[in-house]
Amino acid sequence: MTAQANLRHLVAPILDANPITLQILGICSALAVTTSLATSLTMSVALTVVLASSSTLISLIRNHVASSIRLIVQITIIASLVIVTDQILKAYAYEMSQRLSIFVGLIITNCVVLGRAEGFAMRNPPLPSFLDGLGNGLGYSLILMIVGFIRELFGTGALFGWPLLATVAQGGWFQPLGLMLLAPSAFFIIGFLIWTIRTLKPEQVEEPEFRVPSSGARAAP
Amino acid sequence: MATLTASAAISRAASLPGLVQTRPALLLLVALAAPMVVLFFERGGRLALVLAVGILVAAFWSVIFAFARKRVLDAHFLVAGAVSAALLPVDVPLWQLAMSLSFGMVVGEQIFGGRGFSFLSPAVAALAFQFFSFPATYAPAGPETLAALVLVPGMLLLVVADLVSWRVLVGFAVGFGLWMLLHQSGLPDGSIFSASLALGLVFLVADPAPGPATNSGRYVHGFLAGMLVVVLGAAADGAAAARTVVFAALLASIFTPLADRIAVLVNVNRRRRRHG
Amino acid sequence: MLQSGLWTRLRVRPYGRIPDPDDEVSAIFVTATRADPLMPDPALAIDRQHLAFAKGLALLAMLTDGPVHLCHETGVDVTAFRSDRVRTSAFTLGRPGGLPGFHIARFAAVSEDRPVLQVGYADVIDLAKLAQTGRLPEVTGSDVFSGHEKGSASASARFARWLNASTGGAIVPREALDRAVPPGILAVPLMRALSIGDVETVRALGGLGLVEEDMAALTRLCASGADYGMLLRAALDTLEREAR
Repeated sequence: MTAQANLRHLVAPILDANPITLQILGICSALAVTTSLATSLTMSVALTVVLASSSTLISLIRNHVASSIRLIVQITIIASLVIVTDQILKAYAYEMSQRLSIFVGLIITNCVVLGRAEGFAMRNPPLPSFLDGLGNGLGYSLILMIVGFIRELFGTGALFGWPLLATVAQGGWFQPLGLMLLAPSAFFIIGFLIWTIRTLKPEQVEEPEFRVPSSGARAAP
Repeated sequence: MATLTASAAISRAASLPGLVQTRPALLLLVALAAPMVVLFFERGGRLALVLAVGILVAAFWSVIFAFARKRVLDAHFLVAGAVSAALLPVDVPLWQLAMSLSFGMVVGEQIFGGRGFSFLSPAVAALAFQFFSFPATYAPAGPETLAALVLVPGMLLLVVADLVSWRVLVGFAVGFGLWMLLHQSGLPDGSIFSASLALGLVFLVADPAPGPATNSGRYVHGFLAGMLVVVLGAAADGAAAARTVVFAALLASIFTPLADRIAVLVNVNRRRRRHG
Repeated sequence: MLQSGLWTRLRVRPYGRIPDPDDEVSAIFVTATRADPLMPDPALAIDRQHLAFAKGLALLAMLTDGPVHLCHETGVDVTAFRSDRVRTSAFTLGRPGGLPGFHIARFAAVSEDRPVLQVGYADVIDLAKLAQTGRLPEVTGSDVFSGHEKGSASASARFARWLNASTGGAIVPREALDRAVPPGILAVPLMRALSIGDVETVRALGGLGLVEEDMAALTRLCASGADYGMLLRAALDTLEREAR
């Protein structure tokens, strides 16, 4: 594998094949943990670590796993890594772990992880798999950070907990948007991101299912 | 005639291909006029400012998207802006109104392709955004029954002109009445007939463009909205509040495509069975 | 009928073409109604030639094993024409009740394996004359509907025209659209399917039983400016090609 090809595995999932905005995977955790930048960052790191390491490990044993049990093996590896990550978080950042509650554990069910394991790591060597996992993790992290930034700033007037906009409650001018603290706002923000990216990169737009009849067929006014 | 030249002039000035679509919006405004006048008297002059801002914001987004897509501009933004202004308290901060209406017009309607392509009424989306984002928004104090009564002739005009479906209204009455009987100890007093409920029914629930496409869908949509007004009203602010009718309309709109889909499936299956 | 050219006045659905003489049809529809009140009253012509009309119906019945539907206007006495092969049904004058598409939708489920024939009342009379004399009487006038409508001058019609002026834009569902189509047809889903070229949905919604003239009212009422007659013709042509 050439260095250039490997670099592509790393860079492509950041924008061109972003797991959230193109593959539309991992939305659920993107909604839940992006109420603040701190939780978004923690989740991003956790997922990237799990994704990169699981892809590498699965790739290492890919030729030794019987096809009929490969999904169970992948999930076992992913689950083990997630549990380890969860334990590390609980040990060294207990408050953050409480804020993230079940969502670190739910990385096991995150479609990005299993998707890349089954879709890439099972048929590619370890180094590209590691880079692919890392790249997808970075792409996921990018979206999470953007959404977390917007939601925390407009929902509380702070970033990383440091107040930036003086809220009305503190005697200032900024009226926080209650909607930003609810999950639907993440949906809308991700939707706008997808819209923006596809406007800038039209090749990502899917083919329409039907073609409008080209004859025009307009009645005379 | 005047309409024709005015809209032709506007579309020429905006270099749009074809006329500005104004006629259904005009009739809707005619129906809206009398209640608006009454509301002016009841709520005071600031309503004019709220109305102006609402219409301007809605106009802004409609024009921008019509330009960018090179499509006909539908004047329904006048109605969306006006109805939103009427269903919010008269002291609503203008920047909140602008933000809500921007959200409503863009995400509720323009994102889908413009009027007629969305399943949501833009005013409904705008008001829902407002109530979600700024929970301190309170509905107008009194029931304002006079404005509701004055809307009735306008509503009949719209039914005759086929801009409001009588099936939706009947479905609403049945759903509303049935749930009232089932869940209230007695009949409601007159304060149910508020301006918010009436305006919400005629301009939000019965909005034709995002509305049901089949006759049975219309009954279902109306029934669902009527039932939800009672259920949501009992849960929070009462059936007469603006918030109640807005959320009822929102939920009913979400189920409308399903109702239509079921009607289509029934129709298709019936035809397939006749083939043998 | 083939030799005289009378055959070419027949139409078969689906697709609205001149029928293939070798094909079986499942039913025949005789149109003795008017879609436009300004056209000559069929009841008068049938009255004057009622013997020929009855004979023509009997001759038509030989073309199919199924029923012959005589579709007439309300208030017309047609008991003389009923028989074990001929059924009569009353329809309202004007659109959409006066269109053959409306009659067909009421009684038949049209498909490629179950086509139906449509015949005008004047052609039934001519058929009897042909059988009697061996020659066709002179062609008196064209009964062809072009699929575009003339306007009427009443106040409500003028108001409707003002309101519905086509300006291009989206399809807005209104009850008037559902009133303008034959029974059992869902107007707006059909219009949407036609607009995007989804011929499978057009077929599932009953498009095979329709021709351009059935769509004329929808074209008039819909503010989107789309010509549903043309769209239907395009869809029917595609379906016909796929059926071969």
